[in-house]
Amino acid sequence: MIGLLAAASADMDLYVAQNIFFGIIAAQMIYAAFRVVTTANVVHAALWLVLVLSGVAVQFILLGAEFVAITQVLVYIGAVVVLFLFGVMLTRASMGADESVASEKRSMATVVGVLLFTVMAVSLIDSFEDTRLVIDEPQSTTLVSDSIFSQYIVPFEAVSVLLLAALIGAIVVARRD
Amino acid sequence: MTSLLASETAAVSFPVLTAMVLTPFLGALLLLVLPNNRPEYFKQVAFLVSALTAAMTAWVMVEFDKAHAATFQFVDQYEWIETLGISWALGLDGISLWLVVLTGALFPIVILAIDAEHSPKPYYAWILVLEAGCMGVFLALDLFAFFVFFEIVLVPMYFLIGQWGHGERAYAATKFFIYTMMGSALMLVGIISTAVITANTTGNDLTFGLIELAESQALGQTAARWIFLSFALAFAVKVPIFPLHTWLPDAHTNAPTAGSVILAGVMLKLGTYGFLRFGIYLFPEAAVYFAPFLVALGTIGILYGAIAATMQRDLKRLVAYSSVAHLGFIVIGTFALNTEGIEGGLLQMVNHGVSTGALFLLVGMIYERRHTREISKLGGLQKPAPMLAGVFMVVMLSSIGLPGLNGFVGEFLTLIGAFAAHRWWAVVAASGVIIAALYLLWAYQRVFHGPAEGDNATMPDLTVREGLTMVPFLVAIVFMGVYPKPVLERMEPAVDALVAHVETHVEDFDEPVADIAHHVELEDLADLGTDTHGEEDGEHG
Amino acid sequence: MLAALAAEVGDFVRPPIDWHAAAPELTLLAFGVLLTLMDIVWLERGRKWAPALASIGLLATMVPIITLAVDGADRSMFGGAFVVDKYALIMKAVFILAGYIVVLISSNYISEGDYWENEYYGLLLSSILGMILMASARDLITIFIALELLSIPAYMLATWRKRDLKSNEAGLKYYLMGVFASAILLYGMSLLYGASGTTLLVDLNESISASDSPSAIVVMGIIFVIVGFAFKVSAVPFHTWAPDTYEGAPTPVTAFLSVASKAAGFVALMNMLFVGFIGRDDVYEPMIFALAAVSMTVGNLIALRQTNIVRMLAYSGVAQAGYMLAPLAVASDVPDSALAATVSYLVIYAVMNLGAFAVVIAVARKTRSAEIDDYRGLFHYAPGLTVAMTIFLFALAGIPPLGGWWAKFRIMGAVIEANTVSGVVLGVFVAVNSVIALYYYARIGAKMWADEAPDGDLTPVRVPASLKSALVLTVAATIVFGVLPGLVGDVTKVSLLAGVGG
Repeated sequence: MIGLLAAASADMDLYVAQNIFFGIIAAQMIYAAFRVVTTANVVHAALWLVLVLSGVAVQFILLGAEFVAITQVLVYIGAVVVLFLFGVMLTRASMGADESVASEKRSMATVVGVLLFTVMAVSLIDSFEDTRLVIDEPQSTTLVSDSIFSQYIVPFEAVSVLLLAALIGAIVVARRD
Repeated sequence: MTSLLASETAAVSFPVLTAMVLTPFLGALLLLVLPNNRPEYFKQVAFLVSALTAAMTAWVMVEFDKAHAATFQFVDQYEWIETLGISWALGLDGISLWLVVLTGALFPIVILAIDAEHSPKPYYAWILVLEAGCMGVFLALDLFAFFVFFEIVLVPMYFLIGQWGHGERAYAATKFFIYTMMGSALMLVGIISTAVITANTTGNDLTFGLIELAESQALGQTAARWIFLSFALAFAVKVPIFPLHTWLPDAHTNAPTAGSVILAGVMLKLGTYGFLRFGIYLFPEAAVYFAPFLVALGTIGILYGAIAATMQRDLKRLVAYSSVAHLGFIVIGTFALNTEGIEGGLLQMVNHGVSTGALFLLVGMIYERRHTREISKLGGLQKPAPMLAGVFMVVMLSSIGLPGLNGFVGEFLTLIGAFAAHRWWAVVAASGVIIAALYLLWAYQRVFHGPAEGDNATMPDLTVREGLTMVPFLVAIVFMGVYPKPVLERMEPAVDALVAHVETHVEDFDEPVADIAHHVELEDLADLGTDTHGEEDGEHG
Repeated sequence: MLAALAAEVGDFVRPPIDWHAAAPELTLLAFGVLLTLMDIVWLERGRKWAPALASIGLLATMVPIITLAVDGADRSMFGGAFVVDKYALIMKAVFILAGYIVVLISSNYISEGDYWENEYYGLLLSSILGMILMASARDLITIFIALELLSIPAYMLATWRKRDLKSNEAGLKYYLMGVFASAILLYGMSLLYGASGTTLLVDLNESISASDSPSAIVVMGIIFVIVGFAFKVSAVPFHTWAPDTYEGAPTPVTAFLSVASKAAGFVALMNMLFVGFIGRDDVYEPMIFALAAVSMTVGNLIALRQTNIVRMLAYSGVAQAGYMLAPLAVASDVPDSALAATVSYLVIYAVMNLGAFAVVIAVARKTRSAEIDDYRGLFHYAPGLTVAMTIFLFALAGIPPLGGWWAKFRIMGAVIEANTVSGVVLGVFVAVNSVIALYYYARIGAKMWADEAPDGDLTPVRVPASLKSALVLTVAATIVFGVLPGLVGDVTKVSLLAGVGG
């Protein structure tokens, strides 16, 4: 991603504003992501996650993918993080700082994280190098809906069955009987 | 063993070989549907089924065209799995003939002689399945079919030992199963490789037919050697060749008498037969290459088996170890790779089936009466049971290889063959004959001679039924000892063809011939039975 | 793709839909909906009809599958995203019949255990719907959605014994590992989409096999996708969930997971490998080789030590997954044989493993346990079950002439036919492992036949009719597949490459 950024900013005649914003938002996302895993407070971690996820949404807008951006906000911030917070609230997790969150496996996790990051960064840079991705027009929601209801109609219908099944199953598993 | 599949001689329309395989199997199914309230029928039905099979075997033996013993006769061939070139192909030549006859004759006797200790229905059903499997192995002319039968025989034996055995039966059954599976699993890799490589090299369709594969000889040298090893491992476990023999004493000791008799009489031959029919025929070059190694192992097996037998305190274990020694002779004869050796080995397979089968039967009779097989607890049995002692004596002498009885002819030919090919190993192996005399006579002396005390003194002699079941064994022992010609002359063309096949396909290989073999023509062998100096001739060359 | 559609903005054209091709899915869906509606309308009164309706639904789904098979034409919709060919039909039939047997072995277990019956069958049907969809899916998104549709109901079925801690553990572990695997899989798919710009597997293959395709990211994508499916098929080292889940889940669900769910994972993997990745055998073949070899060896070695029969079957399932992976490691050399071998194995494995679980369920009705020691002397009080179990165990071990032997023969035939070193090495691996496996199968056999029953308790096991019919079906199929292997041989003469492209 840094490679992309470098590549794009080297070419100043294109999307200057987008590239500057990309850099700013990316830096903010990285910082927030660090805070998610370093903070000892579960609620804070969830809120930092909001920042990361909304950063992703903004990046999508910069790329002209409005539908994905809105979906990102609705699903991740509106549903997933709220679910996290409900989970924290309903279980007896402490609201304040909790030292047990920082477990002894942290160093291991760091190693894995750094390794994975390196591998992915290297392979992305290696694959795309300085390929310039031209986005000539924003992708409209119409396009997305058209392709969902034509090319991807089967998975779309399957998802509805999946949701129903998940709903029924979740009720059975969760209810007290 | 030329590539003639359709025999011009025995042009029978009735698929007799298929019937010989399927009759016992269908008999087993018939047993399963019989009602449980008349248990005495199980034995009768089982006996009738196996007698029917034996009758077909006898018919085949009579109809067998000895002039064309080198070609497969009575061939049955049907498509089985067409897409992979697998067919249900059965055939009989001089090599398999006597083993089939042995199988056909032994099973009815075993069924008649021994009653099931409990649950007769599955017991007789398993024995019949075993018979079908053994017949199939000896008759199969398709590698796939052969492997299926080779594996099938494990299952009934596993259950016979596991359910009707004694002592550590579950352990012995599992050990037997695992050991033999271990050998054959890699053989499957070998079988498929043979078929695939042959199809690739020749450009023909994939086939598992034995004759096509053996005659095309399309494998490279290295590939053939590796594949031969995978076959050899399977057969070596089954024979068993030292050092893969450790399952045998356990299996024999804990098996029910019928299991021991069949194991010794027929199943051990599956390995030695496999060496001849598949090992040497398919991979002549590799067989020549590994022959010294196998002869060495065979010789070690002879000595090891003999010495171990000497030290046994259990009569059945003693006979089991003597089997290891006897099978060693068969191995060195086979891998002498000349007519005398292979013929001797083949004859010895039949002999061993007869004499060791009979020995196990007799030990079983003693055990039934005395409920022990400890040699030290037996003694003086000659007085209360003179008939038993007499029969035991004859069978034991045949096993030792006394001239005039069948064991001698086989051992003698084997040693001639081995002497021509691997002189010093043959000399060492010959000493095994002496040790065999030692441990068997010593065991006989301890069991039958001396004063009979306690239960030994009141042991009943053979019943009429038991006596009758021993008659075929005695007849075979004496007949083949005195007049082996009918047996040998039916083997010889097939064995010659096999040796010729090896000579054709292996450069710089000529049949090893001993000087003595020039003087002893096979026609003279008929008289060998009376030649008491023959054995020493074999030793000193 | 979106660019191609851009021209049509505003005038949406419905793509042509071949209703006959979609009929199996639609039939099953209709019965699933019917099942749910019945619960709403009839409440408690409908409860006892649930298994019957589920069975009827599954059998009814077989009708369009058979008509499609008789018709014989390869059908393709949505530019090749949804394909109905012989391979897809066979796998659909396997899923449906496996599901039918699962319903048979479930009905008494679920009704006697006072579980949520209607919902149980509803979830079962939706999971099977995901599976038959998977058989036709030739598109990244369809494959992913089908995978989720078959997995998510399965997570919940695994924890169906709500009051049992072990079942909770089973469901939770399965869920966490499954979701983790899905995430990895989806990440891999997104990388592949990023590299190729298409979700269709045929186009994907064309794009990533081209010499100028970005290499590193494609390799990462393929690895992630295979790892994701390796979880699903429980290949070592991604198998850790399987034993705990299998042990804790209700036994019929375990049977379902170990057969249908695993088969679905394989179907997805085969779709990916044979259609999507076939041009990149340099990447996937070494990986599949390692997965196959390690799975069979580790699975068998750990299975040796198990004292619980369900755990043993779980580890044996890990090893069996290794066998099934083996031909895929030579997929590019002998694509037809490799595919036919794995499909044959899946078909036969489904039959024999379902049968083994049916016996476990039947025996547990008396012993209330799945410890191997409780199988001692089974022959003395349940001879029929003992015979059936012996047939299944020997079939799993690959003893001729039972079905498992033919399956193993096909596997070895395919890997050796490839005529490569790695193929022969895999063949040897399969051979050696069959012997290791035989040890634990034969040990159970010896316990059942040779030992005495514990406490001398010889009350017979009462086997309900539905369980009995499941046993009869599976025993018959196990034997028939072994004696007349031409049957499976002909049916599985399939090619994935032929069916696509439309």
